[in-house]
Amino acid sequence: MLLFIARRGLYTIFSLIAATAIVFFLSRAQGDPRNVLITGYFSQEIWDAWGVEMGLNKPLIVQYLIWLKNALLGDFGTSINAARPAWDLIQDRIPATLQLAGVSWALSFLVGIPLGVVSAVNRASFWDYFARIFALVGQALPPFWLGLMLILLFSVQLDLLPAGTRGGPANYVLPCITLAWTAASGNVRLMRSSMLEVLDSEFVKLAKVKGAAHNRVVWKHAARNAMIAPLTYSGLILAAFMAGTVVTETVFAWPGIGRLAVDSVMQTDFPVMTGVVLVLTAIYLLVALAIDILYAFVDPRIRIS
Amino acid sequence: MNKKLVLTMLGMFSMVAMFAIACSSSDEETAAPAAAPAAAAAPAEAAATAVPGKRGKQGVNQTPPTPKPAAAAPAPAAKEVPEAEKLTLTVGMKSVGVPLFRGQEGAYPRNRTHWTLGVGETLTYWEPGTETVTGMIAETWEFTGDMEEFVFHIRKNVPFHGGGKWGNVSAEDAVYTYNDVGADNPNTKHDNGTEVSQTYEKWVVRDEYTAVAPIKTIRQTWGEWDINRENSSANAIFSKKVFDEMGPEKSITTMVGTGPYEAEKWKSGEEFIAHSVPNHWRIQPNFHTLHAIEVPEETTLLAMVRNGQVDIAEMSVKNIGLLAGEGFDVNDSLGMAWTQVIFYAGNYWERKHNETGEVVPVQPGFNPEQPWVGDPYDYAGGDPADQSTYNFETESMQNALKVRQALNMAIDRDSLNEVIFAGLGKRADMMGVPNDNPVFKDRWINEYNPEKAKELLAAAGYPDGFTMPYFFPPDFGLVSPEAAEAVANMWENIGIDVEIERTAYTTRRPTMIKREINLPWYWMSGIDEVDYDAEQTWLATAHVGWQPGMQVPGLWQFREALHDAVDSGDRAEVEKIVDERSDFLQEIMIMSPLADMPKLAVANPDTVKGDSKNWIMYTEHSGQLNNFETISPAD
Repeated sequence: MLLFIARRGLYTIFSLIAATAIVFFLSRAQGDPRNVLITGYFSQEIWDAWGVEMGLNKPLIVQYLIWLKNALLGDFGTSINAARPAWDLIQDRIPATLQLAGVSWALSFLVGIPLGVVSAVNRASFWDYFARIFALVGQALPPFWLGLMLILLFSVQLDLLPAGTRGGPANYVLPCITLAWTAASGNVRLMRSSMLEVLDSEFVKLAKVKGAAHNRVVWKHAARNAMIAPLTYSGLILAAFMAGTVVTETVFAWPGIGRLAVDSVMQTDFPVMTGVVLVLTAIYLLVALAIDILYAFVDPRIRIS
Repeated sequence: MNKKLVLTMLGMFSMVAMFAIACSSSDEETAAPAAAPAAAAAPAEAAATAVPGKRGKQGVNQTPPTPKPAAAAPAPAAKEVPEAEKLTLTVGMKSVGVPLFRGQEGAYPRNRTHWTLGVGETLTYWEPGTETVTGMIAETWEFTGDMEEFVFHIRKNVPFHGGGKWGNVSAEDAVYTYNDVGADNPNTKHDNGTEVSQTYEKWVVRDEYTAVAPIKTIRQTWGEWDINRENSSANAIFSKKVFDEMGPEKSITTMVGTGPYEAEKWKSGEEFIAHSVPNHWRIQPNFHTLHAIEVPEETTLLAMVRNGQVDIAEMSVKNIGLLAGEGFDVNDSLGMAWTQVIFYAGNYWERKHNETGEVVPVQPGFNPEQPWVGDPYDYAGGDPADQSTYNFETESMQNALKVRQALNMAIDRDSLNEVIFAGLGKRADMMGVPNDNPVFKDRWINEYNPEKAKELLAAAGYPDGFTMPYFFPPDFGLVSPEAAEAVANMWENIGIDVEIERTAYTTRRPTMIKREINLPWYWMSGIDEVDYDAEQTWLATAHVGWQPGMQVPGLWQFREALHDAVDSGDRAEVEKIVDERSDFLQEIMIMSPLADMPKLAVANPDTVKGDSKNWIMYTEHSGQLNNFETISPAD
């Protein structure tokens, strides 16, 4: 197990370094970073001074290593737009994204998994059809449209919920439904198909033959074994949510890291741009690593292989 | 249930909770401590009868105004507002800006929000709806000698925010602010740092309340750009003490101003919260709390207006038209003449500096291979280094002219106004001369004829059209992205393969300053008078700083003649020159005015008196809502 974790950890570190290199060289490929600093006071002397200050007179690989060293220490530079450390801006946005991601993920899990189980156990029943339509609609509806329709119905027509911005519990309802529905749809379908497979397996039949209660057979024996695939999917969904959901954050004016990423690209705010990409990549890789480890923890076959 | 499964799920939940709790974010920037009641404002001293400064946008010879007589203003009585009466004004905005409390950081367009949100104050300002310059932080001012110095007398007993910690405004603060803006700071990012450095030497303190600006050269844009609040580049006065104690970096984000609202929380991308300053020297806001929320998606903002989540909002003309029909108030005091215009950038034709006569090198953006760009020196005898060989009749120039005429002719201005601006805008056919101005001539009306446009393209050598890049900023308040997209579609209809570039204005701005921009692009211009000649100022080699991407011989002469005519007061001569200038612009077709787009705000009549009569905003160059301190709650 330890070897497994160590191996996975090493892959993650290499992936992270590769990501930093891609981010750095792509940002340099956009052009000279001094261009965004130009004002009417611009002169050749100032241009040259900026170059020395930014280390642009050094070879590109040296610039990358300097940048990497600073990045590892949490120094992504100063935001050109906000005149503050880029890390401060990122740090400000992370809680909002994590809160939205956490609640949405929990909702998608708590709705999707049981619904998938019920659908599989009660094939061709009302709940089966409901679950399948729920999943179909959830995966077909674009989040942008769904969010706006929810706002129209619940905020404008019924005046029950706020239309946007971060705030109290009521502010979470609509954006979380928007995010969670698509993810829950995936959980429903994966859980349903896994359950259908597991319900036909020999050990489940044995449990039934031995007289185990129906609920015990379904939830203790079958569901547990069917959970592997949806769990992996849920983990990746969590990572994706944590990495920011630009569309939902924009529709609901949620001040998350996804919007920060888009704003920094639009404003060519290099320090923030590279910092955001790096942080999002790190979050995704670390969550994926955690999922892998948990997965191995749950399923011994993975550890052994 | 299996223990491992439970642990797995708990592990995932824990991860989420851990991150959410661990990354605690502090409120952005140092908020000043709660303000103690300010000292009573000293009664204003009597002054000479005011002579209004001559208003006009950029470039017009402006008479320095003498100060308006300051009426004796009794200090407002300190008033404790009961908690139950502390009203909150909630404003929905596309951007709440960024807290930048240093003159050096005043890059356009993010430099204005400290004063549009009522946190900062400038030396003087144009009173909304009038032609009068009024003192704000400066009580009086005058020129000395032969325009050698500009002397400002700073108003006494104007405290900085922070409950007394940062003291009162003095001449030292005004001097520090302007030197930081650019009078003595080559590192300035302020978009008018260059102009300030060209106009003034380093400012100095003469005594505690006298700030002196030694003048280098009087520029045409003196009054508009430097000292008044109306312009987007106006400089709120910042505290020197903050700079000294907090340091050059931290002072940028230390929220200390002098305005009627004191910032408590300012998170860019999220919200701005400020509370009214008790007993403010100038005005006591009716709303105790100003809460601005950033809402990037306009449909969401529309919903927030309808369900009462915001009291006031800025949004597109079309949606405001919808809300007006539902009974919401519309406010147009921000200005009705933000002309949407297409610039055909890349036509850098000048080779001689307008003022020094020096040879000007070929600009980096000049590329006559582009269909809309002509080369006036591409003929036998033409010398790109000798402007006297400039020839508008070269084949290259004439073909490029046909292309520009075709692009212009493909634009249906009436449809733009009816559909995109819901009929609330005005068609615009000539820069500097509104269509409803008495000076406007029908011969300047641009024909809409896509078929003829195709013929022009064919005559220019592009029967099958060509691929053309096209830029517009989707995030700038006074630019209509919908109209910009509509124009692209109209060009597609005549066979142009348009490659749209939607990036932030700040991304493209450096290319304008470096004279690299060379593609048709969509922008706006604020104009409302025929005296306005900013296009001449822009399009000349003498102009440093920002430029829309063309330099045209001949326009500078119109500018000088126009100034002389305006100064002489000979209206007939002014109109004659405007006629000639406009005919010239029509002939060379380097830009296509489209429509005057109003900048509107919408207000909920149930909660605020936000119509144009009750809430008069400053005509602010970037179109930001402002003057919230004057809004009253609904009865």
